[in-house]
Formats: sequence, structure tokens, C-alpha cells
Amino acid sequence: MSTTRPKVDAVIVGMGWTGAIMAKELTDAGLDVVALERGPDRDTQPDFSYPRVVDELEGSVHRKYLQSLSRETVTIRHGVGGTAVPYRQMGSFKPGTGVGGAGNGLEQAPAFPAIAGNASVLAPESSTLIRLVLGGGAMAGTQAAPSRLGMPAFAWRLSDDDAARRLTFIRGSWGNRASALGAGQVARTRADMASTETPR
Amino acid sequence: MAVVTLAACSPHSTDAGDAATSPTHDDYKPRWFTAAEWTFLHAACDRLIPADDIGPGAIESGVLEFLDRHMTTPYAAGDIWYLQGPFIEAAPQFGYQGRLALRDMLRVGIKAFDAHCVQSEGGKPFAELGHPQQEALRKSAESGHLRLSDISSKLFFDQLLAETRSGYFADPRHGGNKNMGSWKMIGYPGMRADYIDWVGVRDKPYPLPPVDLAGRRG
Repeated sequence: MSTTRPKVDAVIVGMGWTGAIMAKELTDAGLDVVALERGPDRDTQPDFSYPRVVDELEGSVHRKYLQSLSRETVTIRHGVGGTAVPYRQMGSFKPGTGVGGAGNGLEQAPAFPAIAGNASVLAPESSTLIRLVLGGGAMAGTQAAPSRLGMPAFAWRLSDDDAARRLTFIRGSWGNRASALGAGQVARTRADMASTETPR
Repeated sequence: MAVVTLAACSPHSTDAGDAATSPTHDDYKPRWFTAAEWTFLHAACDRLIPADDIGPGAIESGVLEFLDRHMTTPYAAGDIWYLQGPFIEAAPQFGYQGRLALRDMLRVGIKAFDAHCVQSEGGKPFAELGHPQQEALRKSAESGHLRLSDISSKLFFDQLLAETRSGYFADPRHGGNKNMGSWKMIGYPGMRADYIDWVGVRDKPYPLPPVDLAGRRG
């Protein structure tokens, strides 16, 4: 049976950082605000009293202050061709791990090859590397890892100079010692790609 | 900058009951683990964090007591993990996709690890092997090369190492980190609440010993 509550000016669903700031702004402006939060009732005292609240085992390992995934979770896949799987443990899915230059340059098998010591990255003839950045690329999907992980094309986003600077960075980082690339090399590859592109 | 006073407040325990002085690891009798599992863990945790001149080892720190008590928590029973189907093999980036809760990972893993040792190391379980053999097996599990029945050796290794670390570094109220030995080793001050006088200090170590949740000083 539904319960009818008194009407208010604004209802905030989820009292996180954004919700809390909005609640303050709206109440400061004189509005009547209700914020909804799921889970058990919690209050400053005793739930967040010192020092128990800083117990790292309960906080960071048991995730005492977060909702349990056993009650509700999401499924995730890396692309439309992949099979979505459940998100089972907090922190188990890390979107940033090993992605491009955000990581440590080491291999994140089987998703991302190492940048450090990578033959394609270090090749003196650098058009393959430039093509990858401008045109994007994807790995083959396998039965064990059906998602075709890849990177998008950046031709529309990066100027010749932008691309050259980034490639020079990865050719000289994580122990790599390959020569710098210039905007001219990127421009030539870009022109080659445009001239060989199949019209659709 | 004058660094004169330290607000070294000693926190009050909110639950003095479970923070009572706990017995040493020698007196502790396991309630979750079997005798065989206990013997395995004694040897394995001693290899993961051996005592040396830098700091205490896992055994003297009470990691075994921590493990046994931790296995009876809702967390170890899978309370905050999603453990229902569908069970689909997926790339490691999607996280663990199997059916086991933490306590089952350890139980299944210990049995499989000891079975492997008995089969391939002349009939001896892990605890009866010499340190060089134990180290070779440890490395093989850490890299995932070791083939165990029923469980990935790397999954088992990762979980056991994480649990050993938790026992070694978590507050003593959970059964490990006896006498705050690991905190003293790394200079972690524990539950002291106020460091405002030290925010700008870069050239000298924090001078006070750690305080635990029960308010004891290390």
C-alpha cells in the first residue's frame, strides 16, 4: 500500500556530494527539501562516532558504509558485442587500469599490451603507431575474452601537433628511448590514410 | 613554525568488550579452521610475512587468530558480494566471476594446495616442506602457474595474501597486529585524531607511538 507524504518543493534522490550541495543551495533559497537515501537508517551518533568510524577493516574492506552488492548490482560489458557480466565485488571493475598512458606502461594481460618496450611504439618507421592513434584499433575477441577491447579513433580530436606530442611522450616514457615524432610525420600519415580510405 | 603542543587525545573505546586483552596466538584455539587448515596457514602466513629485523612476522602478530575470527564474519560469508548467477568466464578486468565466498576460497584453496603438495612433493603437505620448496610453490601460485584442482592458484594466493595483510595491519581488536607491531614498524600513529600541528612538518618523524581503537598505546 502506498503512503502519501506531505508535498515539498524539491525531492533529492541520493544524498551524495552533489545531492548534499543541492540540498543546501535549495534550502538556503527558502525551498522545502526532502532527500531520499536507501539502506538502513544512520546518524552521526552513534554510527559515525570516533574512533570506531576510522576502523579501516570495517570501512575499506567490509565497506560497512556502502550498500551491499548482494542486494543490488549492475552488469558490465566493454562493447556491444560482449556479454555483460555481474559486478560482484566493490572495486573489482577498474575502468582506468592499464588504459593507454594512464597506467605504468606495463602489460595488462590480456586486455592491453605493454607500452614499455613495445615494438610498434618504438619502431623507427612510425606510421603504424600514428595510424593507430588517428584511426583507432581493436583486439580480436576470443571465447575466453569475448569483448573486443580497443581504442577509438582520435583523428577528429587531435591536431597533428597534439598527436605528435603524445606519441613522443610514450616513445620516451617507461624506459622507452625512441626518437621524438614531429607534426609533419603525423600530417603525412593522415594524408595517406585519407587518400586510401574506402569511400562508403 | 612552532610545533609545541600535540593534541594527542586518547580515543575512548566505544565497545570495550571486544577490545579486551586478547590471548597470545599460542593460546588461541581455532573455531572456523580445521586442524589441517590451521597447520597449513601457520606455514603459509609465515612465508608471506616472515619475521625479520625490520618488523614482526605474521605468526607472532596474531594473523592466524585474525583469519579464524574473520572467517566467521558476514563479510567472509559473501555478505557484500554478488554471488548469484549467471556465471560466465570473463576477462580479469571484470573481477572475480566465480561462486565462492571468501571463506570458501580459503577452504577450497588450502585443501587443493595441500593435495598438490602431497601428490608432487613426496607425500608431504605444505607445512612439512622446507623453506626453499615452500618458496617455489608460493611463487608458482603467485604467478598463477601452479595448477590446482577446483580453484585458480592465483585467486587463492591473492585472497590469502590480502587476508594476511589485513590481519597484520588492521586494528588489534580484530585479533591480529598484536601490540601494534606493524604500525610501529611503519610509523603509523593509529587512532590519534588530531594532526593539525603536523600538517606542515616535513623534516621530522611524528614522535608519538600508535593508539588502537581500545585506547591502548603501543
